[in-house]
Amino acid sequence: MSRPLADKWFRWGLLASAALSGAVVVLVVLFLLVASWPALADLGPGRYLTDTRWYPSGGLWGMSAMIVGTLLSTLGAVLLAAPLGILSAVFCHYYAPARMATLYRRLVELLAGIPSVVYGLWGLVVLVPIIARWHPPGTSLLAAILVLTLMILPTVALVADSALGQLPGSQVAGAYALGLSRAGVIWRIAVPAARRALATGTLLATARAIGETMAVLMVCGGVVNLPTSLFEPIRTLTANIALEMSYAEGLHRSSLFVTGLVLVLAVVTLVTVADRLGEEPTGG
Amino acid sequence: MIRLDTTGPTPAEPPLEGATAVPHSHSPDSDATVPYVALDRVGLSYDGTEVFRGVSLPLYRGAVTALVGPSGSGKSSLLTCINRLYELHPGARMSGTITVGGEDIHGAGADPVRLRRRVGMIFQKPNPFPMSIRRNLSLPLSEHRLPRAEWSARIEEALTAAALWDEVKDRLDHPAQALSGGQQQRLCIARALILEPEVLLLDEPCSALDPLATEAIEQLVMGLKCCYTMLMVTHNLAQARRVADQVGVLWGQGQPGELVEFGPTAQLFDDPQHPVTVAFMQRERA
Amino acid sequence: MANLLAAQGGRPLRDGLADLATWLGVTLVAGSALWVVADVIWHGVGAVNWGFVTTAPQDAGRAGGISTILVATFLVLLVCMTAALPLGLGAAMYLSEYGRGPMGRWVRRSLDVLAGVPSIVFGLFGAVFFVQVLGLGFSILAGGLTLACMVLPILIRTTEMAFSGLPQEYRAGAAALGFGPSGILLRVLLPAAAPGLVAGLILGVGRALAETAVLIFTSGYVDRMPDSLLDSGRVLSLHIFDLSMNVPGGDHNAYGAAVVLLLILLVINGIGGWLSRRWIGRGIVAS
Repeated sequence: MSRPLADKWFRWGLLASAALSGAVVVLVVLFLLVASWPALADLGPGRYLTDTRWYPSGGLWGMSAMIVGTLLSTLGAVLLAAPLGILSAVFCHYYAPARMATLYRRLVELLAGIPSVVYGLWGLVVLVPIIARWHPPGTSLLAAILVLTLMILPTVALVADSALGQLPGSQVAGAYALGLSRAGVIWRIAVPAARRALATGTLLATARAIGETMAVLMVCGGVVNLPTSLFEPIRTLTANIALEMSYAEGLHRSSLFVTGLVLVLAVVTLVTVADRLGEEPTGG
Repeated sequence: MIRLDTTGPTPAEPPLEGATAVPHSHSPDSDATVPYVALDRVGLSYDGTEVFRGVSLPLYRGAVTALVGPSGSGKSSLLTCINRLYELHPGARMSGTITVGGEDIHGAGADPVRLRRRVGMIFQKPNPFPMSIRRNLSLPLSEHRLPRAEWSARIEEALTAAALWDEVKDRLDHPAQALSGGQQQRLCIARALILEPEVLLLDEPCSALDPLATEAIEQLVMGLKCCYTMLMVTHNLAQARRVADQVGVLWGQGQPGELVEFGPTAQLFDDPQHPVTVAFMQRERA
Repeated sequence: MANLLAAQGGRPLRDGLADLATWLGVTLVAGSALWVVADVIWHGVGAVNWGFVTTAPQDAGRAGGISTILVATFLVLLVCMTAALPLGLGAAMYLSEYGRGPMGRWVRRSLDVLAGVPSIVFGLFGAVFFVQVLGLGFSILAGGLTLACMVLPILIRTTEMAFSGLPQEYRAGAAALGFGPSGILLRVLLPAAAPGLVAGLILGVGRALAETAVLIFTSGYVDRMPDSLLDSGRVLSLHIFDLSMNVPGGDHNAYGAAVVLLLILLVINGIGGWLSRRWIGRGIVAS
């Protein structure tokens, strides 16, 4: 084959792989839509919110308990993970000696690298019995929150770490020169200056918590229940898909795809907002 | 093969497929009368902004032409017209015509790849690829599908021609980027020579080098003079005077560059005609 | 003056509380991390031995080992990377070299969205598209291909960064030697970008290995030795899930499998780091 021809084919090949890669997301959304269409057409989106209970074989399609389950577990995890993550980053930059900071960063990276199913295993075997001793049954909203917290903490910590690292040193030095104490410098100068990045990290962590399936599924109990306390079992939207997909048929199966569609919308919105936040200059 | 003044006249090389290049000849009078590369009212613009315009320049085989002028006058951009490298910039447009060996570089059937094989280029900053010395030299050979059996001979020849062979012959498989700046630049010259080009474009080849390495490169350029048509951009007037046979002054302060004066080196330095040239020479000398 | 004194009076206490909160928080995080890792190793390391890795699971996994699971995991990874690597490499080259136009912008935005899609949703997609529409059934092929869709964004992003981080001089230098576009990309830029590519590959493999939700409805639960790529096969992470959730008395082997999974991840990351250091060491010595 002559070179110009080879180059032409090569360029077409690159274009084709780029187009195909870009088309994957279109395919994903398309097939979610197609598969959820029967449920959307027959039941209408309203039924998922107005029905009181989730009982597909009995014609009840209420998802509110699972939506609340997802929201509460996510909210709880973010409320715990965001401050802990920020504290971690602050620790690495302003408290720890260099070697300890490196060691601690390694630990956080390790936390980020542990597969979710291992968190689930630990939660199920260690955490749940401890909670059960205190307040049965153990598999609960609290267990879900704690496991999720550990999983999303690295996201906040690593983003906050790099944000604090990018602050101009002159700002921090200037603050010390004004006679501020270490805590004053951190909480009045450094953290406020990095707030945009901290918000980005928190949003990304939120998206991760909403989409997480396995670890939550293993410790939440899987009961469709509107929780009134931290110790009651719950079921999240993702857990619902994982638990019922294998036997669901017809409208039931289609409803699970509706759940998937909602999850994609929620997560993509969060990630987009986080990206927007991240693009603009920090501290502005 | 690679021509050096020590090797004496070599038989004319068969022209590349499809090329209508005049056969190489080393008789001085034919070199002196017919320019091997001719620029005719050449201009270049990036995204609608003119860099230089109306440059006509004859380049002769066996001669070094230096292009001097203030920075920003478009000297380096002019070089990239001759091997069509300007086309890497999406918004670049060239006007006028350039012929290499009598062949219009934009003519029907002209191909930038074939052109660049005939027109080698040395860059301001040495740019060896992040690979071994040997691989830097064999890569162009394999890209142009030259028989593998010839590789090692050609590599030795090119490195010898670039006055680098003795320094690197025992470490051909070491990373090229471990060489010193001057050695890297000579490697880049060897890399250009290995394709046996007819024309060499040198874009301030010494600007990133220390005086000693600069001298080595200058020696090398003068040694290669006999067999190549060379165009060298430089900001160093003394260098132009030492190395070049003819000099062009490209001038453009805040507006598109133009060739204000062109002639034999001695004439241009001793008896500049154009007031801009006079002023430029004086300012550089000061 | 009075204000200043008042502020100074309150300061040591508040500062002390802030310091205390930081140390407490960090201790909590570090403690939990060590707790999880130590627990898995403590419970699991006793289960792991040569026999565990080389025998097939028996009695739903309570007894026996994980040999078939490891084979299935390897095959799923193989399918995933075979599909995702060329596609991702091509797309990344396109984006870094020709991706400034509307097409490039569209591909980038799509990949950003794709990166945000939760893994369980990839599972749903795979269950319809690969399992049903393409008729692959619950199979290693279907699971691997679905996984490929998931790792594509991370693979492309790291690869593109590796390419666009290369100095422009390499491109100009190669073009001036008469290299065509494919020559520049494949012979000059590709080797130069190799360390970044390896890092991306490692990241992708790590993500794929850790993934469970994608594979529940695509590669399936069957724990015997797969006959072909069209056979169902259970990957390591799914095995851990199944043993701990659905098999009473499976915890011991679940922990064993978890230790093996963590070990594999550790080794892969180690190899990746070593390779890219080696590459960099060879490329940019004393430059």
